[in-house]
Amino acid sequence: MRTELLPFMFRDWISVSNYVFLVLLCIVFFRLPSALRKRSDYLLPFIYIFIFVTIDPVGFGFRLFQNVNGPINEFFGNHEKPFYNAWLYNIVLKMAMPVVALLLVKNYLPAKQQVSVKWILIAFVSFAIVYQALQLEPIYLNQGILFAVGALCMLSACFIYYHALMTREEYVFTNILLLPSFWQVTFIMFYTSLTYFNNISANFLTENHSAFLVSMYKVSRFTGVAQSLVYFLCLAAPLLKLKVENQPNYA
Amino acid sequence: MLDQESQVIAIVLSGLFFAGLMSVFVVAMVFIHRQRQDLARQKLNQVQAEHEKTLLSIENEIQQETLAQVGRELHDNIGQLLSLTKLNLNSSKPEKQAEGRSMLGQVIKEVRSLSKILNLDWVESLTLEDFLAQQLEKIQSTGFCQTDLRSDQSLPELPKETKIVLFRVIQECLNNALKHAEPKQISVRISLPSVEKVLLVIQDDGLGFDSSIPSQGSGMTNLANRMKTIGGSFLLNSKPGAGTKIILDFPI
Repeated sequence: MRTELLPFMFRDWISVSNYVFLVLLCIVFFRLPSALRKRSDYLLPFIYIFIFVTIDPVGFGFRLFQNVNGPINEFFGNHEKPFYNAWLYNIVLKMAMPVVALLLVKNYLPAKQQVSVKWILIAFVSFAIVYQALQLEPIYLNQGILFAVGALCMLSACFIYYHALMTREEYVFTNILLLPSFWQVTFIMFYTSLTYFNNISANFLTENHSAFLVSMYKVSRFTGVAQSLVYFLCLAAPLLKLKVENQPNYA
Repeated sequence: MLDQESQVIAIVLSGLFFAGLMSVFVVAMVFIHRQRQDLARQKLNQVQAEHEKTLLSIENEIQQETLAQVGRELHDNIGQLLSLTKLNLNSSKPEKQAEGRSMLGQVIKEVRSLSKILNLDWVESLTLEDFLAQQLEKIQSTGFCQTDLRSDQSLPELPKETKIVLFRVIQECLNNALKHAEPKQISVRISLPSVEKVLLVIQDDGLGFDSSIPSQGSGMTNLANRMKTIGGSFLLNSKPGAGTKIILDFPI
């Protein structure tokens, strides 16, 4: 255990917010009635945001416990810098997260549009498998291409959702500001597009406008906190007696 | 120091820009959605207005027919009865006078039953099955053809508006069969395929016609439109020599 890293565990308020949300989300989710917990419009948002708030603490944990992180890096062929934990972010944030997000958006769509998202999902999973099998980019380094493909898939699914929202009869008399799915998908879109922008412009900005890159990174982290808050409110709505609209039923 | 300051400014500016972008997106979505809601409301009002117009025209038709029926009853039945009553009462024979008094009682009865059909309140008290039974009995009593009414289950009470439209559509279908098909048998079957839907089939074994050829008149379209106003549908199937089958379905 690298005890010298312990002071960095709560390095800023955004890191602290991850721990706070992790505890709050677990309390709220497990206090929901079991019938609600089994519903995909509660379970999938919970899995999505749980992964989102857990990844940083878990990533930090691997840095802390180098005796676990080192062999994993060795296994992936990283002998030079065994303290990297990028492999975890690649597996969870760049592979699992888009899959969960796509399933979440798919869940809010009518049957016809669900088929489109299903194909996006199949295409992404196939691409990820081929990408990792061919080792186009090492798994222990930042996999930018995989992230870009995942982000594009998530953004496409979000636009399919907005298309359904603007065209389906079931949404006509719904107040979209009170619709949890609208805020969930909107924050997936905002967060993904912002991190996508940061990712594709990272090399250029590091060389030319590093201050701007750092500020964009901070804004993106702040958006992440806002996303956690929105998901927390969506999940806690039945307990806090918040007035929300029910997701339309596509008969 | 300057670097740190420019960093903070960059964070604030990019944060504000992104927050602005997010707000514009959400406001645009809400704005487009509200516009769609307004359009949908306008369309709904239009459909409602059309529905009311159709109902009004059907009520008007029923009233016209009722007035014609009242006129015929007054002239052919009550008028005759009153003339006979007058003759009998003017007679010096006591048995004729007694007959005149009994006729007067019959006239009073006829006037009472006539007064009942002058407004549309009868629609409320009459069930669909009763109405069909009355109509088919009327047809059978004329001796034109045999009739048959079958119902799987008793129907729940229907709203007055639905009944007005249905009565008119059924009358029109039966009139068409009598006018054009020369049937030997007209059968009506009512069934409930689901808890929310009623299926009413009117079938005759008359001359029939090729229903695949679009008709010149507007009768069928009117019937279909009327069924639409109560959330139902109108389907007609016919072949020359094979009779006609009309399927009406409507929600309950």
